[in-house]
Amino acid sequence: MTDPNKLSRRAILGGLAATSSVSLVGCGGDETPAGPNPDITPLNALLTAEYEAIKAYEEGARILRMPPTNDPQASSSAPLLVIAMNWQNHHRTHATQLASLITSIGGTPVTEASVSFTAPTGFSASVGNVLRLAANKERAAAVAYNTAIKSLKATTSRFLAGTIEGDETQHFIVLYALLKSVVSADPAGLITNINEVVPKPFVAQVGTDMNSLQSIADFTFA
Amino acid sequence: MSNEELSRRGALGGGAALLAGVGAALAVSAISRDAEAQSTNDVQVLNALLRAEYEAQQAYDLAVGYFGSPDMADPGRSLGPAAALVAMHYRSQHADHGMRLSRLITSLQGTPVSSSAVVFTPPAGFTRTVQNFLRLAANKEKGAAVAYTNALKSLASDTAAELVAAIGGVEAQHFIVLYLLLKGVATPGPAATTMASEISPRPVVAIAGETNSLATLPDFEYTALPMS
Repeated sequence: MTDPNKLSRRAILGGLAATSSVSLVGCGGDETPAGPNPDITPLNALLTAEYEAIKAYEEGARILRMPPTNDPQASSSAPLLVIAMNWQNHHRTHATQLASLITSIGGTPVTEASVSFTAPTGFSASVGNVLRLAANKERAAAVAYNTAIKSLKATTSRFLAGTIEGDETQHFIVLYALLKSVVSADPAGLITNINEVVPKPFVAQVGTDMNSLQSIADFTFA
Repeated sequence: MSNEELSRRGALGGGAALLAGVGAALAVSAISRDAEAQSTNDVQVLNALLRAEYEAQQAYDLAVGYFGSPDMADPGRSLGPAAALVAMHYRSQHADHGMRLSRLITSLQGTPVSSSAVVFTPPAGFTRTVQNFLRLAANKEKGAAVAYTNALKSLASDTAAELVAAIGGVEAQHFIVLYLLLKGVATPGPAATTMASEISPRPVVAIAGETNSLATLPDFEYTALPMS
């Protein structure tokens, strides 16, 4: 068997057989398919929403720093501003992790400069409207993360989306419960523990930082 | 072309086809084994979460019982009625989670753990007071939120991942409300007893086709300030 044509034909046939096995395995496994990683687009959509949230909190902070003089809730703007800045920082931390993941899977993260925020129809400057806007945005974000999880392919992507989603749901429920008057803020407790109002940007630990609920000690019984 | 050569070509072609066929069969078999292993893992992970849901329900049962008639010397006694409403609401959401997990496990050809197989035991050092029950609930809800999130690292099924994220987001809500009450940052508001279900208005965050989720909650509308 020295005919190079026959060798080459064998090689091709053998290669086809091998290819058929690989492609079938690829259908059911975690192998990355050819072409761009399918998680890049949904992750970039979530990153865009994070940048929008950062800018929405900037707009909210602007109002909270100087609420309208006829705003009946103007006196509560100072602690709300601290909380808004803390939560904006959470969104920035989420964005950093999303951008890092997108880059690691071969994508190009959207830039913050390319995202703009426009206040919704009917929005006017007041403390109450800032709370409503934040609640609406946080709910939408939580839903968007949950919806994305079903379409994300890699467990790494799903985990990051899930650990951020749980933070957005905490932001949302605090705002929602306040707006529905199911809870009230305790002024004295707020002064001493204001940074405890959703204390971590993630539910489960991302990387090696103490940045999640996992790093909060259990309450002890008295 | 001689008959011998034709026959050799035929044999070569047949061999390659056979190889391809065997390769494909082996690959299909590997896929099947892989899918089975993934499904088995998903069922194990989901059953661990289901077990925790049953434990949470039993813990809330104990809490509701105590909140209904706290010890006369309990300094947190006045919080009992509001705490009972919140606990009952959270308990009902855990029951909802348990049913959803159980249905999913069955659909994945698994056998859900039964509620009767799970027995909740209060942790060491626990004594019955309103504050301790709130602390216990906060600890459990935090543990659950973290467990659901970490489960996403290993679940293979898209449906399982969606459900687990949808429930985990609600456990995080339960946790933060309890945490803020215990940290003294929040107190029950004017609507705490009349609208207790609004303290976590939906049992899941978002599931395709599910109407009882945060996805269907209407946005707040913006209001104008009174004219000065």
